[in-house]
Amino acid sequence: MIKKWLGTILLIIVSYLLQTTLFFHIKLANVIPNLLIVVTVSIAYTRGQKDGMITGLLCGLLSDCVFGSVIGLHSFIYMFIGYLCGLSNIIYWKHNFSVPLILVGVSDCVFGFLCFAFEFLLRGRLDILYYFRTVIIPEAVYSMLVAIVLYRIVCLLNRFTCPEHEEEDF
Amino acid sequence: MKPKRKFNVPARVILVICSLACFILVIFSFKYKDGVSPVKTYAGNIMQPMQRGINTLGNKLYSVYDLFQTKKNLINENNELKNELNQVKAEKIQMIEDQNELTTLRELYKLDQGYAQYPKVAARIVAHDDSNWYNYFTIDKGYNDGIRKNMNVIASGGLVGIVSEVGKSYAKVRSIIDDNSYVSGMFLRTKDMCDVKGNLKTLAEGFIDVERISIDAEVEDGFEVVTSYQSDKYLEGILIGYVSNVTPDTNNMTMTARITPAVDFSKLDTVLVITQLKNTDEMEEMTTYD
Repeated sequence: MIKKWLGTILLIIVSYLLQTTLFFHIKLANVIPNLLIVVTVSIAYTRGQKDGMITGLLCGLLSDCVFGSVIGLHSFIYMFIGYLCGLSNIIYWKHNFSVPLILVGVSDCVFGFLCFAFEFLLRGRLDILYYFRTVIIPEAVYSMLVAIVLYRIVCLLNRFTCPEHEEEDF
Repeated sequence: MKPKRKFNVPARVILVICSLACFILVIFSFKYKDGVSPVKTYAGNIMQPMQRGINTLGNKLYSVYDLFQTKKNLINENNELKNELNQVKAEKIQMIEDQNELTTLRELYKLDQGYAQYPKVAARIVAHDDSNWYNYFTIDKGYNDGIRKNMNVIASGGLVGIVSEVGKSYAKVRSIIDDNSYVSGMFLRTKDMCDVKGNLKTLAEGFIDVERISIDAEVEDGFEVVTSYQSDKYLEGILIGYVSNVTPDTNNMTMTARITPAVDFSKLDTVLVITQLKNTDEMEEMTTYD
């Protein structure tokens, strides 16, 4: 239990550090990927609702505390994403890579839309299609690319820290 | 078997409880902005050294990749020289601008002080914000280096932003191109007032917005916009950028325009923080007159 959460927290922190520093130098189409979403979704898919939710909450709190203006907003969004993606845990199969990738894409779009709605729409920035085209969709695609690697790392972490979530090979 | 029961709370219940906690946090942090800032500062203090470490690592890898040089000391020396050069360049540009300002506008403005005379601290950008919606960054100087909230940040002669949060050895800067940013500006040549607002949408083309220029203002493309004396946070006379595309609004009372920032934000890695606050400056003047 302790080992599992220590590993998870470490993964979250490392992802966040990379997101705020290294990935800024390797922007694609002028966006950075959202690693926290990838971590949340991967853990929710492999370990279920409760773990996904707590991971999401931790990711959100970290993001809120370090760079947010209001504490709690991102926490809530990430937590909900973790909870909903956790529903997909019933179809979890270790060698299925398409489900987590699709989930990352959809979650990042939802996250981007909510960010837009809470921070931009309320200030009268109405051109939603423009923001979808230039920020939300590229970010989702880039996140999916990163998820190809990061999902495997999460699988590795699961194997070493919480083998009970591993499914048997067949 | 009894402790096991503890973890069998349904996920739904945890979700509801945590959601409520989040809402309470949102309301709390909205109402008591100062109350939550210690928490943020604490988090920042923990994250900053790690971010600095990774960033220097990234920068190093990058410079190796960029220059095809393998000798570490060369790179280090190069970086140091670059920093120094940036600083000197910034100062030089400021001096030239100052001089132009002085010779052409001294009688008009009675400006006998330019911003080149302000005390400054050089700082390196260590991390950027975690989303694509904002333009915040953190620098490696903080409270211990004499940096305070609302200090102005400049680079190579132009305004970069304002310090929005200060930790022990880091500070968070909101740049003027952030969608939330708002700077009260002034045309250097005609002294007409305007508002410079960040805009994520036009930023992709290299512009941000200028609003509420008076319809009577005789402004043309290429006019310089500087921070105005009206602003209570920005020191007067710092170059923001150059306007273009001045068009009248539909209300026929104001005009809007685009402004190209004087600073290239995509290549920014060192900045200068002016360690002088506008308010304290005025306060000092008031106390000396007493």
